[in-house]
Amino acid sequence: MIGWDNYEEYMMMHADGELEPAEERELMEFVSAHPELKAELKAYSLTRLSPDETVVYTGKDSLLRTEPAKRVIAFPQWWRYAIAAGVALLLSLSFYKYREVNKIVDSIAVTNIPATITPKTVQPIMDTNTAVVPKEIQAPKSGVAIVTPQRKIAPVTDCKQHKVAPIAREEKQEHRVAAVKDTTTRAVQPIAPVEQPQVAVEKEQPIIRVDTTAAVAALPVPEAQDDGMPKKRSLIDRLPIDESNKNQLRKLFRVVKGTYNGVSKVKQELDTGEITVSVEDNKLRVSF
Amino acid sequence: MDAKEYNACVREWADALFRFACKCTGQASDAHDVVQSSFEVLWQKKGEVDAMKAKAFLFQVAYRKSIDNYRKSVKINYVAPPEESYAPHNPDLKKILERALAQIDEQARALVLLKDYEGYRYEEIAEITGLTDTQVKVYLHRARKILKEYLVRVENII
Repeated sequence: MIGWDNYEEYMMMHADGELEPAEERELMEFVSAHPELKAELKAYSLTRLSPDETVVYTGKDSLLRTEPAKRVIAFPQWWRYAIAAGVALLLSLSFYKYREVNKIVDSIAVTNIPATITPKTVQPIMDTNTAVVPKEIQAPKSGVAIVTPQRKIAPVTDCKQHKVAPIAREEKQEHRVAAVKDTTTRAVQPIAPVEQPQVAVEKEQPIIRVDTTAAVAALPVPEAQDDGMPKKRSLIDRLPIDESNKNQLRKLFRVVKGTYNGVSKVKQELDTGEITVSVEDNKLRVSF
Repeated sequence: MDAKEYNACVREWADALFRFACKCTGQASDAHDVVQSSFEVLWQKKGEVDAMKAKAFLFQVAYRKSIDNYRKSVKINYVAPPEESYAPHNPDLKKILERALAQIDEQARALVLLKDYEGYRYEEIAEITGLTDTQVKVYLHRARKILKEYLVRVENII
């Protein structure tokens, strides 16, 4: 509220341009109500200075700083860069395509089930319905199968029964793999050195190695027979030892057998009475 | 602030800063030194000063340097403005105002110049000068009253 005690402050704020529009109106109304204050208000308004625009600073150039120039890269022989860029692009595309193809092959190898199972082969059957065996991880001939960890590694189901899996049994099951041995004449050969069970694995897992030699060697395999029917093998043949050791064992067995036969013959003659052996007076008497 | 923005400040604010320095110091040569020093400080602190606040920074430096320059002198007689800054539109009023400015101290003069020349508000002037808003208002009103009284004297009535 403007009064006689503060009107001068309002006039100075008017000269400073600090009054709000409402305050400005209030001041004008107060001055209109008291015309004797108009001269004072005009005097305060005249105290407001205005800059002289003609006064300029003449040393601007000395104050200016050098601005960093824009970098210009010239390509006088642009075709060289174009060729280099093209080669780089070609290599990049080739590498990209190579990786894409590898991905496809991997996916096929993992997801595809062997289309056909050779009827002439017999393999130990892996016991899993969902397992798939990619070609890349089939067991090598050394008897080491490459499998993935944390997977359901199918056990060799027919090991306990000491049987050879029938071929037709698993052919219709889509996610089962039958390891089959090549026996066109149904003559089964020893498995250990050549036959490798395919181990069922799931997809996309790191590869580990599992030694299946021992398990395969423990498999009882019937020997071949001329009539195609399996015959009972000897005890030595069943032993999981090398053939040379088996031969040594056979020689030892023959020596033992010969000695046994000699002793049996003597015993038989003794039983028939042809030879009489008695002990008399601490002397051994043999009568023929 | 980069060199480009700094140069833009030179082109835009050097004249206003020179006019302000001329009124504060009363000497064109001193005003030149103040302007040059102010921009030198701005260049040195260009990494800290935002381009939008460069003008206030320049006037802050110029105000302090003008005050320092005034205090170094035993006495400054604000008798006449620099010739290059004197271009009166109304010779009588301009002359009277120039004489009236000589009646007030250098700090009040700087406040009036910042208010009238550059149009700063009280709080902006307080930020530049380092005073409080109340101090700015009191000093300004005191200067206005001195100027008004000078104008309404019998011998200066216009």
